[in-house]
Amino acid sequence: MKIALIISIVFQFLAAFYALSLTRHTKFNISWILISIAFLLIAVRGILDIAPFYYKELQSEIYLIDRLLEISIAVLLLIGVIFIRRLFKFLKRIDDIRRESENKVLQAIMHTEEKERRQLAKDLHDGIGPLLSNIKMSVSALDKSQISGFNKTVIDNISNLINESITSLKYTSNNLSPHILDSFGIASAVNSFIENINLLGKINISFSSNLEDCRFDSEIETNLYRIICELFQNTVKHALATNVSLLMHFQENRLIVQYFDDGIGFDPADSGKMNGMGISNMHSRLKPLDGEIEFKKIHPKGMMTSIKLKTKLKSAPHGKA
Amino acid sequence: MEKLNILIVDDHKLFREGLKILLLNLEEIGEVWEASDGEMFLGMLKMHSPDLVLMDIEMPKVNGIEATVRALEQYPELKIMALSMYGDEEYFQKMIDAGVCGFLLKNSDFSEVKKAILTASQGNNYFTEEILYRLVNRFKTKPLQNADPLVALSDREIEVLRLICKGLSNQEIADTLFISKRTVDHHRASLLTKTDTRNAASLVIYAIKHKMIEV
Repeated sequence: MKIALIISIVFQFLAAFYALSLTRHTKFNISWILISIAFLLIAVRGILDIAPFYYKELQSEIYLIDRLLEISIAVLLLIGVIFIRRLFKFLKRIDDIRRESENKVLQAIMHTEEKERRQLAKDLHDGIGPLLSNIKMSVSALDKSQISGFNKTVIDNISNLINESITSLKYTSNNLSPHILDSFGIASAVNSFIENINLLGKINISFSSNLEDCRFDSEIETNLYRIICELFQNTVKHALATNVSLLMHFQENRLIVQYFDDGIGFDPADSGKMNGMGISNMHSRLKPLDGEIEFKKIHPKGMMTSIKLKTKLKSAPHGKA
Repeated sequence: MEKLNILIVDDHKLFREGLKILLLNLEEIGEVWEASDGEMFLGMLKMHSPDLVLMDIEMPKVNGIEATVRALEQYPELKIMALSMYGDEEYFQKMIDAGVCGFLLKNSDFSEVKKAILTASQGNNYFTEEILYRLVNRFKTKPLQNADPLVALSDREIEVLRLICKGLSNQEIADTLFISKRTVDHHRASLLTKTDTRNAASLVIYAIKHKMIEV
């Protein structure tokens, strides 16, 4: 009996010290201090339990102290637990803040990337482009009748190289950031993107939109453009589709994009596949814009993606409110 | 023949200077002036009267589209030809609407630049083939949405329109059709009114859109 009591007292002291050591690690250490004190008091009660064996005459006083200790322990534990509850709330808030700041970092990265891409595309196209054009004009202005033999071969070669450079510069700059998007807005940029895919002639694309020259915030235009390009890329790479239909509709401050393809489709719940297709990227592009994107498999075959977001017009073409 | 004075409006200094060297080497060219943006160009028009303006589109301050509109408001007779890096339909359409007499891409061979300048200086339009090709392709692959209904043109007017599209001047059209120049002038004016277009360039686009000519 005595041994069991002594062991329990030792454990209670250990618990008290352990609780006390937690104070260094967390906020609201008052709760750990309270709990340590409670454990200490429990240990004291244990000692009091042993006392009657030695001081039989003090039994009634010991009983009174024991009750008092019991009440204080209950109160201490109660307050301690209340503080622990606040601690958990606090941890949750920290977690939310962390997630939010992660999101912000991601958005900042995307934003910076877009900005840099745009600048680089512009520098290439407007800085180096005219220089190459001018070299081309100059070489083509050479009086060919005065050039023959080896020199003529060299000049023809230079011409070919310049043409190739101009083509690849245009391609690179447009891939980095399509200038049409900046100058004429989302509908024009998507249209031009589709025309380029049409040149390959692999899939039939029908595109209809009521946007005309409507302009939106540049962040909305860029992100939407990237998402639409990604959708087309997924279709071309994975879907084995023959037809694609894209609809963009703006009405009463709501912009709706619907994208269908008649390919093999995919399971929107299959997260492994989703990452490969940049789907989480699409979500994070839309999140700051307060937009939603939804993927649905259609039967018998194909996929439907719909994007909805609320936005105001930045500028509208004539005759359009 | 009197020598042609050219004004180059472009924000890229090296491009301007390079083109100037090439142009000055042509015996048809008199003087070549330079402006680095639309605002400077509008100012220069007060002192110079160029036979042809070669106009870039993307420029700081006042861009090519706005500069063209504003210059033509003040000097309706001025000939402005777009000279751009971009051959996209959007730019093309906007410059035509602004009233240019032609559209040339910066990556053209110099022989084409020369041809365009000479064509334009004779009062005709010049559109680089790449643009026409894109345009025709566009209307081929995609039926025209909300197109203006084809207005009733007389057979003679359609004939005149086809010749305008070929780049003939009014005098040449008169000679081809064995009619007087005044009659051609009259047909041209009535074509512009009927199709609600503002110049020969937009008339050509109208003809392409309505598949009245083969390009």
